[in-house]
Parts: sequence; structure tokens; C-alpha cells
Amino acid sequence: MNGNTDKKIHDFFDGVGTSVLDPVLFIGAVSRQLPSLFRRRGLRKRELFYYLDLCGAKSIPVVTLICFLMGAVLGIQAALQMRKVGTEIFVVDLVGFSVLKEFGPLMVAMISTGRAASAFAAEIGTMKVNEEISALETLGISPAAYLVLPKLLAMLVAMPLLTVIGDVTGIIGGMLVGLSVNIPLQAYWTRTVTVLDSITFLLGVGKTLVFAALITMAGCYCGFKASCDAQGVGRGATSAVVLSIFLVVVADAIITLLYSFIGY
Amino acid sequence: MSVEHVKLEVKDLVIGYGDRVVLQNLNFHVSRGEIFCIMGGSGCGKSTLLKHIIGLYPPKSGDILFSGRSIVNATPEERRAIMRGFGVTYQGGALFGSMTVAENVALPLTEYTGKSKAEIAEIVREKLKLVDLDGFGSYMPSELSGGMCKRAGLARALALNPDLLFFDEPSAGLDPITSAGLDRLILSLRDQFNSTIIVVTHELDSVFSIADRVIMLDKGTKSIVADGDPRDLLKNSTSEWVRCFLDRDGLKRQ
Repeated sequence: MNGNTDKKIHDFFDGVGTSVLDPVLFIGAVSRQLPSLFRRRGLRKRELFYYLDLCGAKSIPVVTLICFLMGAVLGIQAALQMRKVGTEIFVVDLVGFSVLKEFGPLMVAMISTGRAASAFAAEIGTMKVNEEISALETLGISPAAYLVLPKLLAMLVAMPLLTVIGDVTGIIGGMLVGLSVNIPLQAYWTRTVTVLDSITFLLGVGKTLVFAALITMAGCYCGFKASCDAQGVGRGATSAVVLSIFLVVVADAIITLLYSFIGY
Repeated sequence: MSVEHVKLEVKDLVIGYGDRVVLQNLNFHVSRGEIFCIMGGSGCGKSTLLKHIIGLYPPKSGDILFSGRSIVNATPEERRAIMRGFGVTYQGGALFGSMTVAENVALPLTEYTGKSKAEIAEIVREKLKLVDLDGFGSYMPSELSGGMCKRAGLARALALNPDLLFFDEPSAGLDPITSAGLDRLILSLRDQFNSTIIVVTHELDSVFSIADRVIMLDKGTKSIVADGDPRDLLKNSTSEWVRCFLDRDGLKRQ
């Protein structure tokens, strides 16, 4: 093996090591700052409310619309199949379980990825270009505590609430489709509350806590890693979205598998 | 030079990124109350050196001591404590875009002092007045000019009354009048508060106006090629490159 090949192999493993180690170190740096939330001025209310508005309140219209349409689409597809065997009433079961267990949390995660992860990466990347991150460090303020924790906290509050809204509007979407296959609203509602239990609902909402943490960390990490130029910030925002979607889907698969062990 | 008079000491410092060495064999000290300039051509590593000195990046080897305390071997907490003892003014001001000018200046005070809102507001007013930005507290950074942003950044750097100040290219992008005003401000800070001031620049007018001492960095040798009073170096340096560098408009200044 010549020196050039040696260097390529070394660079490859060095690159793999860095791409694994860096995110771990980043998560460690953020985790180490968690106790600061309980210190004086640890909870930055102004930033928290800003991100609650950005990631939560401003997402409500799009979550409502998309989850409503998703519930309706699920209802239409289910009705087409169930009609063949005369079991249209099971449209309620299919829509209810699908929305609460999977599509509600996933759709909210996808919307949050587009809104929050890219915004976090672009914001932190731009701050890096403007030397604001360096300024924070030289003021003795941890960027992880100052920039990441308010976003994380806001996402952990906003995403479960958005999921509740998504769940409700998804079921309403299915309910309206139910009317077209002769399931009255009253019957649809009765069936819904009969087959769906609170644990199914809570497990679905609980998933979003994991998604919120993953989306925030991916967005912030890509922002911190962005190179100090306009293209770098753009690439950081794109990477944040791609990484967030990947992590959310992988996490969803793992959580679904774990839920299946306890019968959900 | 007695130890208590040395504010900053750099020992056998080697800095760089990844495998690349930018500067090596750096040895110098800065005395209390001195205005010390780091000079050199574009791309020679002036700002990189500054970023290493202020602890943003770890050096490859060597040591950096602030009043005898090493920032290189410090724990993260110790490093933050050392960093709180100095103020840094960045090229573009590095103001936080989501905050007003007053909130930017107030940030270190709210973080590290138990002062009331009224006390903090008073200090902010005083610091903004010092940098001639009285009345601009409610402005957002995007509403300020480049020079005003730098002065606002300086007000923030001065908030905790640091006795060591760093300026990264303070004159860059400023017109000659604004630049001269900033030089006068730097001199007045030293005279009023006996601050130790380290300035990274390649503006000769600024250097001859404010510097007690300069070091000159050379891209070729990646090291310090001159250390001393800029006026002495202009006349007596044994290096022709140093004399040429300092003498671009020498006649006008002498």
C-alpha cells in the first residue's frame, strides 16, 4: 500500500470518527447545561416565548389543515376497501388508530422539521457568520445553554400540544368522510371513544417528546457546524431538515417496535 | 519586567487549524496599561492569533497566561471566569440581532451581577455615553451603521469594566474620520481606566496613533518578525520588509 492510499484510509476513518463523535460531544455539551435551567435566570422566558410562538402558535394553521386532510385521505382509502366487505364502520378504527399512533405525531414532526429545524440551523449559522457565537463565548456565556435550551424547552412543550390539535383535526377529517359512507356523526363519535383509549392517545403524544428533542438537536447541531459563509448557512439548514427527517423516522420505527412489546 | 506588570504572556505558542500550522514560536508579553498592536499583511493569521488568545480555539502547543493564569490548561469553568475578565470588540460588532443596543450592553450585567433593573439601565446609559451612542439604546443593531455597531459592541465589552480589552480590526470598513474617532476612544479608555488594550490591525494610521508597542507577523516564516515601538521599528528595524511595511505613508506621518 502506498502513502497516498494510507492517507485516504486514515482520512476516511478520521471522517467517520468525527461525524460520530461530534454529535455525541454536542449532545453532551447541551446535557451538561440542563441543570442551568434551574438556576437564577436559567430559564430565559423571553426566548422561550419567542420559540413557543415560532414553533408552536405559528404552526397551528398548517398542522390543522394537513392533519385534517390526512385524516380525510385515510378515511377515503379505508372506506374504499371496507365497502367491499360491508364493514364501513371500521373506517373509524383505522382512522383513529392511524392518526393517534402514527400519522398525527409524524405529521407534526415533519411540519416542525420544516419550520423549526431549518430555522434553528439558519439562525445559529448566521450568528456564527456574524461572530455572535464567539461574542457569547467571550462573554463567558455557554452557547449551548443560551441558544439550545430555550429552543429545546419550547419544542418539548409545543410539539405535544400540536399533536393533540393534529389528532383532533385528523379524526374530524375522517369523520367527514364517514358521512359520505353513511356513518352518522354520532355513530362515528361513539365508535371513536369506544375503540380508542387514553393510553393510545398518550403514547402517541409521548412520541413527540422524543421527536422534539431530535429535531431541536439536529437543527442546532447543523447550525453550529455550518461553515462561516452564506452557502454554508444554506447547507446547514438543508442538512438540518434531512437529518431531522431521518432521525424522526428511525426513532418512530424504534418506538413503534417498543410499543408493540407492551401490546400497543 | 515584574510579573505583576505583565497582563498577558504568550509562551512558545503554535496555532493552526487541523494539520495546518498558521503561526509558530510565538513569544511575547503585554504589560498592564499598554496599547499593544498585532500587525501583519492580509492572511498572516492576526485574527486567528487573537481568537486563540481569547480562548475561542485551543492552540496546538504553548501557553497563554492572563495575569499568570493559564487559559490553555484551564477547565471550562475556569476559562469562562478568565474570559469574563476581558472585553472583546469584533470586526462587525457582533451584536445580538434579536436584542436592542441597550439589551446587548445589559446582557453581561444581567448574567453576572445581581444588580437591579434600574442600576443596570444606569450602567448601560453610562457605557453608551462613553462610546458616544447616548440615545441609541432602543435601536436594533440592524438600524445602526458599521461604526455605530462597533461602538455598541465596545460598550458591551466595557459593561463589566474589564481591565483587558481586545479589538479585532477596529478600523476595518470605516471612513478615516470615524476611524480616527475610534482611535481617540481607545486612547481615552487607556488614559481614563488604565486598561490594557490589544488591537489587531493593519491600518498604519491607527498603529502610529495609538500603539505603544507592536508585533509584526510574517506569513512566510509564520512567526513574529518584529517587536517594539512602531516609530523605532520604522527607523531602526534591521528587516527591510518591516521598514517597507511601516513606511508606506511614512513621510506623511513623520
